[in-house]
Amino acid sequence: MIDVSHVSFRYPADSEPALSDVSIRVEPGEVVAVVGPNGSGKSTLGRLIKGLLLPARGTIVVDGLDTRMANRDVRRTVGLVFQNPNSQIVNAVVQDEVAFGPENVGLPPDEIRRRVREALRAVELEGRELDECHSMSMAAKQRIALASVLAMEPRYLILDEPTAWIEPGGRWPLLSEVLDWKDRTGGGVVLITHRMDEAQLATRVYGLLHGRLEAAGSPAEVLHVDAIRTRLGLDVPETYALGEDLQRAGLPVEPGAPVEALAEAIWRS
Amino acid sequence: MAVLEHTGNRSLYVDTGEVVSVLGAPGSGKTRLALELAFLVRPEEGAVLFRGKNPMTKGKRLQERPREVTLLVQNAEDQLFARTVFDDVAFGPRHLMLDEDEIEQRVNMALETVGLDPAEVHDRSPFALSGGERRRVALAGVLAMEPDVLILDEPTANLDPRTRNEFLSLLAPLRGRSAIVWLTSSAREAALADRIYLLMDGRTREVASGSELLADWHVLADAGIELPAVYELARSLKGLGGALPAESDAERLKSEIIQSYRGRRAR
Ligand SMILES: Nc1ncnc2c1ncn2[C@@H]1O[C@H](COP(=O)(O)OP(=O)(O)OP(=O)(O)O)[C@@H](O)[C@H]1O
Ligand SMILES: [Mg+2]
Repeated sequence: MIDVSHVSFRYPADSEPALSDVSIRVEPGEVVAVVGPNGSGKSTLGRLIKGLLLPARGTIVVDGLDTRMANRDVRRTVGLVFQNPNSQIVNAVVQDEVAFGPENVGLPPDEIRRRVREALRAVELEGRELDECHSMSMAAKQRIALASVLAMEPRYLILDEPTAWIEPGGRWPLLSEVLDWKDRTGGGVVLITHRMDEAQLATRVYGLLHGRLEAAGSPAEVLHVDAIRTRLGLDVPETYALGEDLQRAGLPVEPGAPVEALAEAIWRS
Repeated sequence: MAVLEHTGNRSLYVDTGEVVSVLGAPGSGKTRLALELAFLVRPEEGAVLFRGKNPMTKGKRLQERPREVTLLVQNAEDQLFARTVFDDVAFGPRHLMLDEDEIEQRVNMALETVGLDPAEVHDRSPFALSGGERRRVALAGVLAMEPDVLILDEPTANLDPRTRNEFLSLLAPLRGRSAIVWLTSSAREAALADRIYLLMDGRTREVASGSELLADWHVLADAGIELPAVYELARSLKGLGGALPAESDAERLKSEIIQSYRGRRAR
């Protein structure tokens, strides 16, 4: 479990804290969403859980490991996919980038090859192993960034706006790979997102505003409440609303499922 | 005469006071077109005319391009470079040889427009900001130049939902004095513009504006453009082998889907 308990953090250069007294929990096998306006502290929270930053107050414990006391172990347990793939990618060639982490921890070559192959398959980049990262589209870079983290086989995944640059038709396939990964490995996922339909996939949603936790609860308790949406500047989860309408009209759909799943449920009916 | 015009297969024009959107799927060549419109690369085909003339005739170097045309590139947040936010936003205006008072005024106004508090961010490093704040600073940088023509390549990436929905209000200070081209892959965003071009298979064509845009939704769907959920649902049903409903109004399309599939179940 990831247990963030009463955490505050201020960047040295800033006068205001980026996070104040924030507590969140992520169980293995669950997806938790973090939403909130620009600058509300979402990425900072991700960096703290990964152990790249240390809390000024409060504690962060990942499967019994405190990010302060056991920083190296936490970093291996938690995989963080950066918001900006350009700040994550350090290698020139795709397969080197994905193999970089596994190589650094000294895995045997066969194992590295297997992991690179599987990670690239998961993000639909098979066949592009030898391409140059820097000349690829932002969407492709975002896929490489995810693949590099998957190849480390972490226990928890923190995805910082993982579909921000992905084309519309590619978002759901990518997220469903992540959900499959979670089901297969029993890992936990923190999904930071500006897309409410993605947040709707979570078991719990945390809403940040000016570094404070302003809302926490099920997607319904956070995303479907007008007052909370207005305060946090959130959208209506559009696909959810559509699913609800279809269900109300008697179609056998699960509101909250992505459009593709709604279509399949209707089609099979 | 249009302020900026592209001739050839991807013909389009924009006048002062207009926001024109170019709607294209990812990979449709929006970024290439944006660079051409800003005279940063030579057109693959056709020509780009600024105030009716081709400023890039043979022998002219790209460095001599018209400074009145400014581009906000797709990953603009990666291009911030100055020591402070103030210097970053002031960079463009300084090149326009404005006096320092005018520059400061423009920087403050641009920062306010993008929702940042000038006093709070002036002296901060642009690298010590959140992703969305960096995007806002980049946007402030082009607003502060008050360009005659502003080209925006997918400018809403990284912005939070409220800012994204109200993006047009960020352009308000330039409306009336600039010509704006907004390249996007979202039909919802494109519909906010005064006029809309669809970019598909290396060609542009002007489509009905605003609410009428979705009358053509199956064309947009085929082009891989992001559509409101109910249209995406219709597209997915078609992918599964369903008939493509002809309805173009969102509410009626939803009713039609409900009717045909609820009936199916009863049979
Ligand atoms: N490296 C840094 N140094 C100093 N301050 C920072 C740094 N990174 C972020 N901040 C500040 O900390 C606060 C929280 O930033 P954070 O990046 O966590 O926001 P966010 O919720 O991820 O926003 P966005 O939606 O824009 O990505 C903001 O006020 C931001 O200006
Ligand atoms: Mg962020």
